[in-house]
Amino acid sequence: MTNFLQVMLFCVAGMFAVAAVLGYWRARAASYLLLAGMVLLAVGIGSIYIPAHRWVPLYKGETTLWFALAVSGCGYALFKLNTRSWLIGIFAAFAVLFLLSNLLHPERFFAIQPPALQSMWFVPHVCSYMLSYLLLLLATLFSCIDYKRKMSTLQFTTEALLKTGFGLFSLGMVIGMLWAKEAWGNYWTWDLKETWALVAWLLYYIYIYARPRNKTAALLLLLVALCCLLFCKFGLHLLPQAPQSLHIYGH
Amino acid sequence: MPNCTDFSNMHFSHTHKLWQRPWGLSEGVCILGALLCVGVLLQQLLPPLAIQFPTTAFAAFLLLACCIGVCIVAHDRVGVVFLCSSVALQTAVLGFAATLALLSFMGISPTQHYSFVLCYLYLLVVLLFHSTDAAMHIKTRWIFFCLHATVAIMLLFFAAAFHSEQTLRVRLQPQHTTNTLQTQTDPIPLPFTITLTRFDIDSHSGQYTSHLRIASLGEEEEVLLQVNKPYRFEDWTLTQMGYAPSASGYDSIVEFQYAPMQLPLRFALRAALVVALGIACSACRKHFLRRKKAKQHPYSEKILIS
Repeated sequence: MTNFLQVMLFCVAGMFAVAAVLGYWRARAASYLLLAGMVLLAVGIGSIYIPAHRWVPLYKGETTLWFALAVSGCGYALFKLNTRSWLIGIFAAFAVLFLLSNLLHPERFFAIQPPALQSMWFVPHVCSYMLSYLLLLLATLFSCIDYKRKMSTLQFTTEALLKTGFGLFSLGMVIGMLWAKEAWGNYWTWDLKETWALVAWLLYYIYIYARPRNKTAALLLLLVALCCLLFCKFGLHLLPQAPQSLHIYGH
Repeated sequence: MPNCTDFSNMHFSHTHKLWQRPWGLSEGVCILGALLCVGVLLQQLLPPLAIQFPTTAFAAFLLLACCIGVCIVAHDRVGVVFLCSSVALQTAVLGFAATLALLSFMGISPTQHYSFVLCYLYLLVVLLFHSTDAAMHIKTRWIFFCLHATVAIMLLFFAAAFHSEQTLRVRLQPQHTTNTLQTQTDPIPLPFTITLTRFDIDSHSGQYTSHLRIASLGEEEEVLLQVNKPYRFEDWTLTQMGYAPSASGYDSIVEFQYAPMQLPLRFALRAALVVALGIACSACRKHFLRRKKAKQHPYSEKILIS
């Protein structure tokens, strides 16, 4: 990692951290700080790609920079739409985590991506999924809080997070289908990752469009959907046909 | 033609029996259970599933025609009313998802099990009934109907029946020429001769490249095959999948795909885009409507939009 990039990332991480702390009390100031950090981060990302004359992510460190940009951008957009001050804090904190992973382990920055992931589709596909995971996780958390309190104070926010997360999830799937067609020749191969992504997607679809009227059943459906989502991300290697999966990248 | 009705909230007396009108959650679960049992039975009794295009496309069109016909002719029958209800959609979707999960845990590919096919067909029927019902009760503008999530998903599932690709993963050895693909049954002839002249691995980027010579009708072409950069020859697509060590260095693992029907595949892609757009528009529309009502009633956040 160059000195310029390292210094820039430190500045951006500092701005995001201050925005995360200020978010609840001075939401407007925090949002301006977040926006400034995003601009600086975009400049930093541009400083990697423009001199190299490429837009395909080659190194693993580049992808975490894109994640930080996507998370901070999503937080800023949601704050502008919903004016919830805590949104700034949460999303800025997640962006700081992504930046810290690069700053604390600079040797990993130039770890080469597997060849299958060196594609223009990688960043939009993974960013859509990652943002949707975050939003759906928050929506489930707020639903549990509402259920425990036996109130509906967070219902409006939960619905907004859920539908935005579901929309991003759908977008990630469509981008993945387009990428799969280009890379593997098939839109859909019933690979493990694709199958479990579809399972989670169907559960969220039913929750949004035809959820059970019983609140306990609805919350259980949401929790099962979240479990499927997390299993899709972290648990596929436990399945018997995992070594044959196209999403396990190796030789 | 009845609207989509949710019977799950109706209060049934303790004397309600199964299959007594109107059908509800119990009946939906019974239908799903029966489909799964029949699927398991068929899997034991019948040969392996080998239904391909154009049989799948013909079956999809037949199903579409039957569903629309039944909706129009027998709209007041208890079965049709049930299939248009949200309970049927719940049970069909949840049953389909559960079947996928179960087969995945058992290490079985979904397309090789009859239970999956039956659940898929049941879900497609429910989606077709819901879409027909929505078409007959358009309350919003035509564009929002087209972008309705359920209609969009129905289009996607319908288009999936046009899947016509046949794929085969082949291990190519260096300096070895072939013009057929060996399968477990009959060899598949290729319209060209293929030779792997060289296989390179870039130690810096990790990228691996197959240098192929494609010969057809007296003409030769040198092709570089890399990951994410497939090569297309007429209806055939060659995709670099990986490599494996061998006595002479490395063998290239290439996937050969034959897809003669490109038009239905583009239809599937457009259906997928309609799904994404439909969901995004439905979400934005409901979200902004809710914000508008929240601004009109600033002290109340409990706003439910049907």
